[in-house]
Amino acid sequence: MKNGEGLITYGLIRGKTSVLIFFLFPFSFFLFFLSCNYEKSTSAVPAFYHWQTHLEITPAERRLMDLLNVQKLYVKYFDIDLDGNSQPVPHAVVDINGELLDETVIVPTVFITHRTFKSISKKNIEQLASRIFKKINEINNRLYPTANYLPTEIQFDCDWTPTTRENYFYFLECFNSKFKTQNSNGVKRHPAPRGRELSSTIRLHQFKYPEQTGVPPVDKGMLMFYNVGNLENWETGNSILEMPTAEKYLTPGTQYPIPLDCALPIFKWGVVFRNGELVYLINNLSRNAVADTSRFFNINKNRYAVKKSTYLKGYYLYKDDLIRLEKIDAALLDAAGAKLAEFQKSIKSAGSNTGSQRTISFYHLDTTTLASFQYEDFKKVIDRF
Amino acid sequence: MHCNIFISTDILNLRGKLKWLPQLICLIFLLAPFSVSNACGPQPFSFHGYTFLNQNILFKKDKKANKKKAVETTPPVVAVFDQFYGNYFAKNDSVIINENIAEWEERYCGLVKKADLEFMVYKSDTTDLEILLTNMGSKSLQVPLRLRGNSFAEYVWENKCTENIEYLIFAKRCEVHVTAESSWEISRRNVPAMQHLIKTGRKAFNRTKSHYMRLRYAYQIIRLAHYAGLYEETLNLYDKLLPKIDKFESRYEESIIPWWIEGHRAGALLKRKRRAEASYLYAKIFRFCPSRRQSAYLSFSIQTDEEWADCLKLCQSDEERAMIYAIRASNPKSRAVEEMAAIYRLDPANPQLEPLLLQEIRKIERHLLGLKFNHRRKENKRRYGVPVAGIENYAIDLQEFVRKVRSETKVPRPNLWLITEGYLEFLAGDFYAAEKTFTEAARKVEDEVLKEQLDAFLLAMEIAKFDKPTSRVEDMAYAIMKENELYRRYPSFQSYLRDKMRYLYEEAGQDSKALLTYSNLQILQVNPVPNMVDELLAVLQKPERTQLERLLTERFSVSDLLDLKAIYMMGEGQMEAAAQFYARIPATEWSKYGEYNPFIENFHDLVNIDSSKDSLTQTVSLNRGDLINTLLELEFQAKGNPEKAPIYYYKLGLAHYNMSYFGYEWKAMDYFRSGTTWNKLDKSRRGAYPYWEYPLGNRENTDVSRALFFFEKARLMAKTSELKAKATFQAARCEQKLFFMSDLYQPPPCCNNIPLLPQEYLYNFDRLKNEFSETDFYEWIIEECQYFAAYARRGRAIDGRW
Repeated sequence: MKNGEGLITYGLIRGKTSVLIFFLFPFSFFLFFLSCNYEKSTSAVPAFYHWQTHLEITPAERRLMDLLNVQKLYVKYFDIDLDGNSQPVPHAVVDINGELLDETVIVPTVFITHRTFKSISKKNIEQLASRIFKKINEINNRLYPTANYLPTEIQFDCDWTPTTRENYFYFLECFNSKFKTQNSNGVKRHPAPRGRELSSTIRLHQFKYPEQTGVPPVDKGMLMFYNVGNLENWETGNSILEMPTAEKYLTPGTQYPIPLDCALPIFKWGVVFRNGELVYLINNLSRNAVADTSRFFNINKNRYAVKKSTYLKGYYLYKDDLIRLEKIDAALLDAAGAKLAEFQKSIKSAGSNTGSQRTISFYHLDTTTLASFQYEDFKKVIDRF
Repeated sequence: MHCNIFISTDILNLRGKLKWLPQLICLIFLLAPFSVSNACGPQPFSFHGYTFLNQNILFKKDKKANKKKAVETTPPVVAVFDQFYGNYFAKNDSVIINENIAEWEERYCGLVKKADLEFMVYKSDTTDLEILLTNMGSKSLQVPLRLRGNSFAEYVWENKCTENIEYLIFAKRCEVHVTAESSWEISRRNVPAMQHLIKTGRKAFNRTKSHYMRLRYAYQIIRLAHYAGLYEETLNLYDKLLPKIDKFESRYEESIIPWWIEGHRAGALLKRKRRAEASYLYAKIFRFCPSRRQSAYLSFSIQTDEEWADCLKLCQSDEERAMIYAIRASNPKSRAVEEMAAIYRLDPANPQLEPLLLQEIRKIERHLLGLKFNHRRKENKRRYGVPVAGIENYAIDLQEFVRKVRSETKVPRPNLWLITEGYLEFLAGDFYAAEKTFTEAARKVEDEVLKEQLDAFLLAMEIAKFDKPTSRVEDMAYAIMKENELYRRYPSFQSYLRDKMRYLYEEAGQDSKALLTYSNLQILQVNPVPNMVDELLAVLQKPERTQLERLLTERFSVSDLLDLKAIYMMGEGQMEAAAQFYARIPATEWSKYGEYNPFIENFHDLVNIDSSKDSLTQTVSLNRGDLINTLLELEFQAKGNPEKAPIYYYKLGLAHYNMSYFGYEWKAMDYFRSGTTWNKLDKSRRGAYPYWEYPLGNRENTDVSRALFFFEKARLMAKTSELKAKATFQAARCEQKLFFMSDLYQPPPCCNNIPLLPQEYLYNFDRLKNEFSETDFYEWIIEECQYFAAYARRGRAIDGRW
């Protein structure tokens, strides 16, 4: 055994620590106050996600964005998934009508399925990073034909797990090296352009257990404060967000090694169960859609049964199927905002903030979704940060 | 990974019949049983289940030809979705090419070669065709050199078929705008250029005399409009161009091109949100056009009850209505009994019913078959949600429908419904009803494939009915494994029977036999659980073992088990008992179990050293039996010879330490050692540590208290301070290891530091430092052993810890 060195090191550290603490204690107080003052001087950057395949800002959406001073929009450019030959390909490429975008900063966002990274070689990861970079630039070139535009931030969304972590993180590294050094034509620039940030979404379980899931090699993360409940269990009340469940992920004083922006949900959906099994998620499903008592039966508050087989928003539902309506209302959004704001303050002092303003993004911009909220609802949440 | 595919060679013989090929391809990938069990290999969490459905029952035997053919020509809609997608991209292009070339060939009455046609249509470039066209207009020019020898080029040149070549040139100009691009590339479609081509095409259409060529022009023009996103124009062009084609002259009804045109029309209708019309068209395309079948299926889209009603109204016959019900039912998430009932009401003889029946039974089979004894049922539930809560109710609904159908005897093959009724009863756990139904079926069924299916169901039920692992049941299980043809032909039987017997043995407390149903003696070698080894010994020594017991125990002997017992007793420190077990092994077999020398004096915690000869007592390697006897002899002599006792005790201490988990000769008392045990030394339960590969865990001989006892005796009785010092150091090593085993031990979070020892585990380190620091051994060991040096340097901390 050759462990003597380790033991001695341990002793030295223990000895020196007390000395260091003695000298650094007043200084740490100074840093603490400095950080508090800094917190107060910053305010959150409001933003929205756009997650559909056609982006065309409506006048009502533009008005809301102006009122809230939203100048940043995370736009899902496309999804990456495997095709029939198990090759990663883009799907659902966004079609953008830039008419009412005005000066809004677009953050290209790409959703990559977990299975894409399940069995992919390093060489193919490098190729995937190049292709995605090129594809994003192509979409940007169509949107800004004369500007040779390269965004200041690009975001990836992937529900990685310990099994796909290595591949996903390697992909991020490959992509980052291109994003930080190349222009929109893929040509290397000297010196490398500054002020570009690569971000990744961070789900609550990834945030809570960084030792198991790892921390992605990006400049910052977007903490997704939703999808906390067990969607597949009929007994779950609201899988999008239930505060007691969500709070379990937020241990005060938690440190996360990279700065975090936050995403809050504003969407709704219907969760359909057949023979006890989850079969469909129907987006934007409201009470009105299941109000027809000849076809649906209200079991209790947000739960319905199908009385007679019927089509609902393009899905064929059979008699006895069960539907659970899930949504975020203004009160829940506010509670989530309050909790997250309080928590964010507790993790800021952990030195995980770079000093750039924190973005609070609402998922997602859609006229139907926005109809459930007033301007004040968003304003109240934003002001909390 | 097993994949339970039962494609008989008879079906493969059908390949010769071209007209069946598309249906056959469709059937093979749609109905190939999904992989229900991926139990083998390094995929511990894949779904584990069984299936006894044989899709061959969808084929009816043609007695004259002695071949099987699908019940009807209508393709079954049933799809296993992931396979469907998987095949869609890979194979569809080749189906389209083959279908197109076959039609060109047929139009030329087989006078031109297929390969030549394929070259001209798909591989030649526009320049080749333009030169050929120019030459066709001249009396002096021949077929261009590049195309000379091409039977198609020569035929059109000879017969001056200029319209065909003009069409091909036009088609090639269209191609760049309509062929699929790589998803990574930005769209190359140029709408103004496409509109220009539409104009050019319409002019050519009007001046073309051949109505077949007009049909092809119409296809190219309509396709261009569709892909250019000009949906209203697509529909207008369809209305304008199609009436100008003579259906008789173009042999419209025989051609595939009208279906290709309808596909683009349906696409435009869908974009105009005329979903009922579009879906109706897609259903027809699915029915009649193999090359567009998959895309038609995927495009079928109804959003509301009104659209569904409209779509039904558009249908011209009950067969068409049945087809759209079947398309809806084929959704893997469907509760298709509703659509099956609708199809049955419309057309009881409809060929979609049988494939749908199999699809639904397979869903129920996945959830219910062997549920009670499936050893992975917990993982299935946790990871796949199988079985779902409502599946029994659905099984009852399906059962009622099947009973109604077979009793009304309006379907072409009521016996197929009869045997599936019995199978559903069996799946629902009603063995009595199932037996009655199967008995009735046995009287009625004549078709050989159905008979085989019935026998497979009966065999599955026979196994399910085994209730206790009696000799009779074991004999029956053995007979099935060795003699039953179905056991070999239906791959699920192997895991089904194995899991059933495992369950029965476990329920009866016969854990060792349960273990042998899915594994081998290795699991017991890694952890020789005494009662399980005893149980196996009893089985092997039974005067009349059953055949199954013989099979389960054929790979090991009584001696192997006695060796395991002896190993276990050695680990427990019971050398006399170990010797007794070894005495029962014929001496001629002792050398089978390896040779060991644990007596080498060693001060390092290494598990690999040269153990051929020791310096202390010059002992050579011994087999396990002799080793046990030597250890007993040493202990005996130590008691009777005070002079030599210190060295004997020291030697015994060495042997026990070296044979432990921490020693180099661990193999003397163990078959398997895992390095990972170091990280969980305090986590054992009666010596066994959890290990992913072995369900009984991994027994490690981590207890060195017996070695400590002998070293203490050696120290107390030793006459020289050097031997005392050595024995003290060895005892200190034992104390350190015992601390690792204790509840007090907290593995350090990082850095591989030397752990801190509490006072109660420091007696011998203290003693060595305080009483023997003047010895040569002390001087040597403090240089040699870093951790002892570290302990010695630091002195004692205030809290009594080092």
